[in-house]
Amino acid sequence: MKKLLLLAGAVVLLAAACNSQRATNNQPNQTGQTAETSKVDEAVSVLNASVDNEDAINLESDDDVIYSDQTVINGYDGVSNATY
Amino acid sequence: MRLIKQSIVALTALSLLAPSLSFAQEANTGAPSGFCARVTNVRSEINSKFTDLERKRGEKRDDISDKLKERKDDREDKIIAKQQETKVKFEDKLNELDAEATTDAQKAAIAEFKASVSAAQTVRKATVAAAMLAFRTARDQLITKRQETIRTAAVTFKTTSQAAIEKARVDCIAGADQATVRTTFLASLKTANQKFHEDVKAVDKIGQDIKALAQTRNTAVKAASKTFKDAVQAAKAKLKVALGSS
Repeated sequence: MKKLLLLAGAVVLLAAACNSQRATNNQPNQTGQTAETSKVDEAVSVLNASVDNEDAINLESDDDVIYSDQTVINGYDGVSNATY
Repeated sequence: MRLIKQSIVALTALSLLAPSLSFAQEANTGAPSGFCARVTNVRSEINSKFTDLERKRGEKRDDISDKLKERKDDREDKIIAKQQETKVKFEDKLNELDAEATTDAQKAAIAEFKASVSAAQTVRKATVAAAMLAFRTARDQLITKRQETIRTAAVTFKTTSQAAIEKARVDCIAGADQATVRTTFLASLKTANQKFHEDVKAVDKIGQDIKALAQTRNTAVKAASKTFKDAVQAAKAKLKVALGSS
């Protein structure tokens, strides 16, 4: 009987500890965040970082390629600069 | 008999002196000797230079086209890879949230958040794709216009130069002073080269047009991203309320 009471007590204590932990997780921290809302922020950060990265790639300049024919244009000077 | 001997001596002396006299004439004008003798070679040299330049211009045009395509494909691959990586990370976070949600209302709020993000992503993706396509199409047309402008200027330069060397050749045959022929030819070449550069200057305006296109694209892409971030921010605020914190 004594053992049974001890076991029941232990179960009650364990349940209380679990509830307490859950309450702590859902409790806003110093910045007003719960663990869940922090995860929301993290998820959004992932999205925003991806968008910024994508924009940087999309907006890269191709001027170095487009105007690389300037060397060919300059090459035409060789026709009139020769001694002949 | 004596007259014949004197004539032979005089002709011999003249034949020996003639080259020297010719050289003296060239030396006085400062021109290198034998321009008229070389005029055919000069014509070949000029034609060869233009052929070489045309080949290089064609190769460069292809090279530009290939590199732009390569960069476009490379960037699209990078973006797709990044989007996939983001999708995995984002869904992991939402799955964690979903596992920790204690009420049906919270689970519904997470699902609504996910749907809002997905809708915002679709809108942004379409807007950015349209902006990129419009930019590339218009830019490629301008690049072609630039290359055509250079090609036309080069053809004019070549035609004018060929006309100049042909005139020099004809003048040489007509017995004109070869130093004058050469000077005139070189001046014509210089003028033709200046005209080439003036004609090519027209591409500066095309460069400005390409810059303006890039600006329009940048504005559209950035606006699409801002719209996306604003939508996600609003969805996030709503979700936080549902999860019990503002």
